[in-house]
Formats: sequence, structure tokens, C-alpha cells
Amino acid sequence: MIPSYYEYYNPVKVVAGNKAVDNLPYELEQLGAKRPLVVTDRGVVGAGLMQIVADAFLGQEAVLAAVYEDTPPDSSVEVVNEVARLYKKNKCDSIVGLGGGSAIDTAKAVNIVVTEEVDDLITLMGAEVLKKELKPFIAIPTTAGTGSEVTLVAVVADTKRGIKMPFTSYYLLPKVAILDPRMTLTMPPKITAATGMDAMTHAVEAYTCIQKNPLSDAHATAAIALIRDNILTAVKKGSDKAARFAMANASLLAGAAFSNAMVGVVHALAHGVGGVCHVPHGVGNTIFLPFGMEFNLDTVGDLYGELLLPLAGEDVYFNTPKKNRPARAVEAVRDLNRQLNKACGLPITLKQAGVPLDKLEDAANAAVNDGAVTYNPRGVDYEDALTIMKAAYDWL
Amino acid sequence: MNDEMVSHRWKPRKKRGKTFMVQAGLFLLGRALEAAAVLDPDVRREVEGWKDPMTIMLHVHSEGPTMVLKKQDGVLRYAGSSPVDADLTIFFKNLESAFLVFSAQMSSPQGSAEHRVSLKGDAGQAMSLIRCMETTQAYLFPKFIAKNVLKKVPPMTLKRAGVRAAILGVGVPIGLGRFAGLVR
Repeated sequence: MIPSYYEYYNPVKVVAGNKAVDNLPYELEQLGAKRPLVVTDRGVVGAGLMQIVADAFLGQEAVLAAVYEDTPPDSSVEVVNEVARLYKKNKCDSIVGLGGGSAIDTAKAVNIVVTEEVDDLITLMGAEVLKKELKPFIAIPTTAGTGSEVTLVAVVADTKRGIKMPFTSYYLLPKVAILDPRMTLTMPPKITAATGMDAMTHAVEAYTCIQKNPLSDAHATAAIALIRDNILTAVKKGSDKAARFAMANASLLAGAAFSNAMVGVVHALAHGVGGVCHVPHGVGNTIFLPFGMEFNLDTVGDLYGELLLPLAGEDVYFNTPKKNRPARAVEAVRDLNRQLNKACGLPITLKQAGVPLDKLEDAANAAVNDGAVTYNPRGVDYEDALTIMKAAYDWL
Repeated sequence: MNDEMVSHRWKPRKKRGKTFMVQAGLFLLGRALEAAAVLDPDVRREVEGWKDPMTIMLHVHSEGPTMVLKKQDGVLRYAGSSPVDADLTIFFKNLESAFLVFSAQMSSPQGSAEHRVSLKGDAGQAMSLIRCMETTQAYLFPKFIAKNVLKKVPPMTLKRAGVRAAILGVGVPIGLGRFAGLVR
């Protein structure tokens, strides 16, 4: 069904495929930039990916003005403010985010600070409050999950309050997203699985949240089918370039879907355990996805029924009576979780993720204060959040 | 180009009715929130968690109706309809979008989902405010309207009916914040 009103925006140029990273200097020059600051992390540097990016500048007019290598897994306001200082000090004119969600989100947040010429990111909190074009920004994801390369949101931790703060603005969308199969080849199995399920969660929630629209739906279902066909191969055989590239595309599609349709209760819960217990975002989404779907089953069960086709394929879809499809879709996600758990030890309970039982109340409280609750098709209060967290604690 | 080729007669039409409705809706909501922060335990608990002092503004961009709330010394008060520099501001992008919400044709989350509002300030704080607004709306609207704009409509118990009567009978006409000390 087409909503009575919707907005859709995705102006990101996608540069994808073999040796795509070598186009980075050219793309920067097209944007009028010659001195990029690269924001990345130790893992990316250690895997040799930064060197691939550096090599791309050979014989080019654009030069690497500075590289920030120390982005932590949960980037914070302090890190953003520090990197913004380095940007100014090194007279940079553009930003490249190279890494997973944290590095790319940090790069986005740095772009806010250096463009608005403030000293502290906190002063610019909000949704759609930025008023001017940001500095040229290119994203190169090295994980296949966050979709941050095509989203209008940057999530940065406020370490003092133990919460994750979202900044949303259309200006935060990168000018260019570069998907190069080389960038995800070295990703370890467990991270491949967690980030892949992160993308799956983006797609499933985008398809069922109150901002869904025909364009986001098309992206979401395409993403789910790609993940269904490729995630286990990418986890078990990391060197499979085709599976890696398919997952990178799935992540981008899911990112474009949720950037325009938003996400719901699963993300709120994952942000809750992420902020309070430092559970990685992809792991939190993996754990909560089937429980969040069950929670919404009475409200949007018909939509889950439709998703059974991309989730489980034609045979399962056509052999399942219509009334059973919603519950079967939840089971398909749970099956996939079990297979990933078996393949690489991906945590699928909060207990496996190391969440202390006595932190569930704090995490549930953080979850209901998360903006994603707004977009969930069913209202979520503190008791709901706590009930789901308890159910997800040790269900195996 | 000849100046005669363009016309300068087009002006936006006044929308006095809708402007009045939105301003009245903002006033009603402001006074009702002030009262709910005294009488409803859920709203009271939420407001206790807000920083103190704090200013909140609901505003129709760019020169439209406005509602200001101020929390000071633990008490939330409706503070008029003149725009201020607030700690947390929720903007409606235009009058029509605000009208959809204030005429109960659209829920606040749906308005947000359709990008009809934008936010300046802490998103977590805004979530708390929205929960308070929803709780308050459940008192203001009859059930047949409430079920269109709220994801959950609490059953109308005798106690809740009393709170509704106090909000509508005293809170909205004269403001209940000034009696916060007595009521608690």
C-alpha cells in the first residue's frame, strides 16, 4: 500500500566494483577537493586497507592531507571534536570515511563540526537542523552492514550520559559511496555475520516501520534476498569476492531503505544495550530482530508474511499457507541466527553477548528514549522493552 | 525582458482559521501538559527527569504559532506564545503540517515519520516530551479520536476521569502549575 504522503531522498553517487577505490582521487577532484582527511581505525590499517587507499593517490593532484587512525568502535563526542581540530590544523578541504559504521559516522560528525565552525558537536544536536552544505565527503565502507554510506544519520556516543545520540540531516549523506570488494575481503567471520544481520535488520525494519514507502520497500526486499543468498558464504568463505560484493550491495540497499523509512523497536533495543553494555550494534540487532518481529506481529504481521519470500525463497513462501507466513518469517530469521551462531559463534542471546542481567533495566530505559521507538508500528513502553530484553536474555 | 511579462499580484492567502486552531491547540496542549505534570504520575516522573531550568518550544516555521514551556524549580509551566531561544525546539515545517497534528488527523509519530517536523536539541529529551504529550492527549481527546492518534489508549478509569476533569476544568483555564506544591 502506498502511504498518503512520503519523502524519499538518496543523492549519493555509487561507485562500485573492481578497483573502485582507485577512483577516489578523481571523485574528490570532481567535488573540488584536493586535501582530504581520512577517518579510519586501527583494524582497517592493520588489514592493509588504508594502504590500498593511499596507493590510489599515486600520480594524482589530490594528496592525503591527514589520516586519523584511532577511531574507537563506539565513537564519541570527544573523538569527533578532536578529529575536527586535526582537520583544521592540517588545512584539509574534504573528508573520507574509511571503515565500519563508527569511522564513517565519526567522519560525518566531524563534517558537521568543521562546516558549522563550532568547537563542540553537542551544540548541534537534533534532526534536520543543519542549514548549509557540508564539506565534500566520500564514504568507503569496509564492513557490509551499517549502510552508513547512504544514510542521513550519524550516531555518536555521549559517554557522559551513556547513550548514543543520533544526528540526522540530508546534508550528512555522502557525495559518493565507494564499494570495492577488496575492502571487505579481510573482515573476520563473526564481524561479517554481525554486520550482515545489521543490514538484514535495516531492511526488515524499513519494510515495516511507519515511514515505509514504495521506494524504500524495493530497496529493502532486494537487500533481504541478497543477504539470504550470500551471508553464510561470506561468513564461511571470506575470500569469495562475489559473496562479499553482494553483501556490500545488500548493505547499501538496506541503508538506502532505512535512511528513508527509518527503523523501529529492534534498533531502539540494540541502541539500549549498545549504550549501556557496549554490545556491538550488529550483535544487538541480530539478537533482537526475531523478538522485535514477534512484538510487532499483531500490528504488521501481513508485512512480515510478504517478507517471507525474500527471507526464505520461493519454495518456502509458496508452500506456506498465507496465514502462517508471518510467523514463518520470524522463524526464518531465527533459523538464520542459529546457523550463523553455529558457523562463527555469533552471539544470539544477550547472555552470550556478555550483558549482565542487572543492567537490563538501564538498557530498557535507554531503549524507550531512543528515537527509533517513534517509527515502530506498535507503541513501545518501558515494560515492553524490559520484557523483550528478558526474553532475549537466554532463550536457547 | 519586459517588466510587463511578469505579474506581481500573487500573494499567499491568509489562513486565519487554521492559524487560530493551531494556536489554540498549542495553548490547550501547553496548559494540559502543565496540569498533567502535576496530576499524572507518568508525566510527573518524566518531567522530574528533565534538566532544571529548561525551556521547550513548539513552533510553526518560520513565523507561525508558538508554544513555550518552562520547567523551573521542579515545576512545568506554560510560558506563552512568543518565540524564545529554547533548549529543545520542535518545529513544524509549515502551518498545514501543524494543523494535521492539532486537528487530530495525524499522530505526532506519523508527523515525524512524514518529515513534517524537525528537532533542535537532545533527541532523548524529545522522546520524553513526546511520551508526555501522548499521555496528555489521552486525557484531552475522547476515545474515538484518541485511538486514531495514539498507539496505545489507556482505559478510562474513575481516577483517570477525575484527572481529566481537573485538567480540563482547572488546568486549561487557569493553569495548575502554580498549585503544584498544594496538589502534591
